[in-house]
Amino acid sequence: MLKKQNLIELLKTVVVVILLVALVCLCVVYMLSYQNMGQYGFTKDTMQMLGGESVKYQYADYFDASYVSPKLIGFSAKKLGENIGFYTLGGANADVYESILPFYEKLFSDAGRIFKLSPEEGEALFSSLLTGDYIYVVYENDLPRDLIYALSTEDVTVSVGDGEYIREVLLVPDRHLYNGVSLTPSGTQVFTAIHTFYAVARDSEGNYYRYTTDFVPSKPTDVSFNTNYYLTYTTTESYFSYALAGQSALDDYFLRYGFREKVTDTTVILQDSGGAVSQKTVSASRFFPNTGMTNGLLGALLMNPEKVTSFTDGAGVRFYYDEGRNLSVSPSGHLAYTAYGAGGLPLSELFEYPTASEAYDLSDYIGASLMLSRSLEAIAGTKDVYSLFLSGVYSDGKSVTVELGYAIDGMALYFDGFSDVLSLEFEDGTLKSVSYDLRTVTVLQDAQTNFDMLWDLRAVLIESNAKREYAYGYDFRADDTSSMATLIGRMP
Amino acid sequence: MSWKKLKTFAIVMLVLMDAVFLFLILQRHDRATHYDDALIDSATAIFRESELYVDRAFLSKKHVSLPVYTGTSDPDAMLFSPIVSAIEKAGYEVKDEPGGIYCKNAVGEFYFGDDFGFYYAEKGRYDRPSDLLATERYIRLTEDNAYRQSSMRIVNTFLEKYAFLSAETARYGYEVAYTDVYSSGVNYIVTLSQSIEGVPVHERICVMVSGGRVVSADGIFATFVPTKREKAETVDIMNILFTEKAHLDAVYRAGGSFSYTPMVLTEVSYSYAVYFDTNGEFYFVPLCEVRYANGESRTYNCVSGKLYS
Repeated sequence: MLKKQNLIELLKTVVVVILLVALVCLCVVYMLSYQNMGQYGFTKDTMQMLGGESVKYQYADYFDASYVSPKLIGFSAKKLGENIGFYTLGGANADVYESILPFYEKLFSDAGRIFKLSPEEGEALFSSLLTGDYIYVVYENDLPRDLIYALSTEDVTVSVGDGEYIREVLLVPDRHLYNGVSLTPSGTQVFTAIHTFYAVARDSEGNYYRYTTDFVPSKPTDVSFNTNYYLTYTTTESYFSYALAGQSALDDYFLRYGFREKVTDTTVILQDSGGAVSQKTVSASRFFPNTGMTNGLLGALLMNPEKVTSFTDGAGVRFYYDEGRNLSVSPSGHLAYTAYGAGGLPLSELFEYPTASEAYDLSDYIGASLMLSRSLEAIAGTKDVYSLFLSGVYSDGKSVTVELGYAIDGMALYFDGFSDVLSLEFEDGTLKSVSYDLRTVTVLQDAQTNFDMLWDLRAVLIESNAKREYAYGYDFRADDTSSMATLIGRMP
Repeated sequence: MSWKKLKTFAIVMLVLMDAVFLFLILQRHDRATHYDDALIDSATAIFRESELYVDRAFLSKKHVSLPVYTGTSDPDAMLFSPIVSAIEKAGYEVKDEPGGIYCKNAVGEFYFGDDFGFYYAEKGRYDRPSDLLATERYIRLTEDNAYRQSSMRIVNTFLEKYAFLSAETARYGYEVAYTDVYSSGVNYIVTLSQSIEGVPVHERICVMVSGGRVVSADGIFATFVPTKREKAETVDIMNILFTEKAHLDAVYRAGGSFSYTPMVLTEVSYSYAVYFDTNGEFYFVPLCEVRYANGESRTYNCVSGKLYS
């Protein structure tokens, strides 16, 4: 009996403990149920951000620095009373340009500051800077500065808006910090004359801008303007010196080329800077697409080849109609896509994400153009021979026009003086027109040659009031079917 | 009081207190996951003002709050590599291009987009099965007959051949299910959907069968598996229906008609749509589709509460 009672009491004690623990747990759960609100891993703000990023993700892979490869990069240093400089051409641009991008990151990003100069101030400043030390970068046409920055850094998150357009950039030294000797990232010992830097840029209409930064280089790997060796902070081994062998070498140089008395401006070219350049003979002939290729072109513009209505007019132009848009292909291989009224190709269809048209920024239109150009370009074939580059971007707030051209080894192909081969026009988030010349581009001959640049490149130098400019490219006129790289003079 | 009586009293009090807290917790949970009757009555009455008829049953159910699944597009991820290997083995040339991977040979091509876009077509095929389904040429087969069975078998063989139906599963792996078969009298289109933990992905995969073989396919096919599940800040069905009411009001005001078109809600269903950030991380975000008796439907993003399609 006593044993049974003891057992009962033991059980009661156990029950009390269990109920007590349960009570504590229930209290904790009850209190936590109030705190549970708001602890979300994925919120409305995340969704807001994601909507826009999903559109940018569609064309992120297409954002490539090669689309804004400058047509010329020049380096000049004031030595011995003369400006000594050289210019890179074509393929060499890519490596050197990569080493210049750190300047852009300080000056063109949100970390930099911009000042608009009056035409008089800008012209005077540009002209005086050309007599000193500078790095000169020029693009084919005026481009949005923030687009140059976005494509050069392959960063689709840079919002390209209503900022200024530029075509030429002068990177110049500002405040001298120190002289010395330092090691480049690859371990080479170099003399340094380190300066901070700023930039002056202009467009083809005479608008000038100055870009500054508060950044002060403090170690050898920081971007800086070193007037003894350019670009020593980079790992691309693209730095170089302007130290001359000696006065006698310079005299020999001028004697050989009979140059000195002919120089009226202040830039001459070092012999070594010319070097061997691949000089190709290129053909670019128009063609009329076959049925398979036409179906591919229609598909690239999201027109179903089996649903379109087609006919050929008396001039041999073939038309394809489909729901408020049409595609025409002329016998000479000119392709034109036109949308009427509310028709066209909505970007929401191309990007596969529903977005209000007001939400698209300029980089979205550029992204759409790059995506479409890849599908059209592949159809034209021989894409391994040339590359595409952005030859122009125009925006009036309502419509956006994007133009692309062909380049071989960084040198543009010009057809009757124009470099744009593909033109796309957008309005309110919809592709409204495409103009495209179908050409087969092939290399007929490839020879290594030393350009005799001296007189040629003097002409390339852009004086502050120059109205004509020169560039190396492939010049096709009228019915030309082939061209070698040549100096082309044209009005900008 | 003796120790024994104290224990008995303690047991009684603890049982009472445990019962009270349990009741409060369950009541709190019920209030958090269900609308009360008065709110349902008020809401349905307000909806009726815009000729939007919502049965109480839709609002009486427990709130649906789906999580978001995330992951990273990793080319070496478990699901994707076997598919590309199988395609390469079948003689296709695989090329990594901006935007996705293209696999081509003389017979046809596959395309796997970085955004999970998927496309297959024999050479010369341009019609996308999803576009064809939008026409009235294809009728849904409701009977489980020989044609339906045969079409599904052909599609299954195609998917197995190219390792789309991988036997391996991950923590948040996909289940592939056949949803419908459509026929034009000559050709068939089989639709499939992937689902994550029982909830389907919004976009279907449409596969066209002609002449006893798969000739084209398109849709969204997720080739990377989510690795994380996150609690999401979602809107509930009441919010969505009020957005629907606002939409119907706007249509009525813009349309100039004398009265609203009656809209009877017949179905509310949930699915997932995939979004990407610029780093290549993907997110499966829950969607809610409301469907009406007249065939109209609209889909909403459950996190933003905005119209998806």
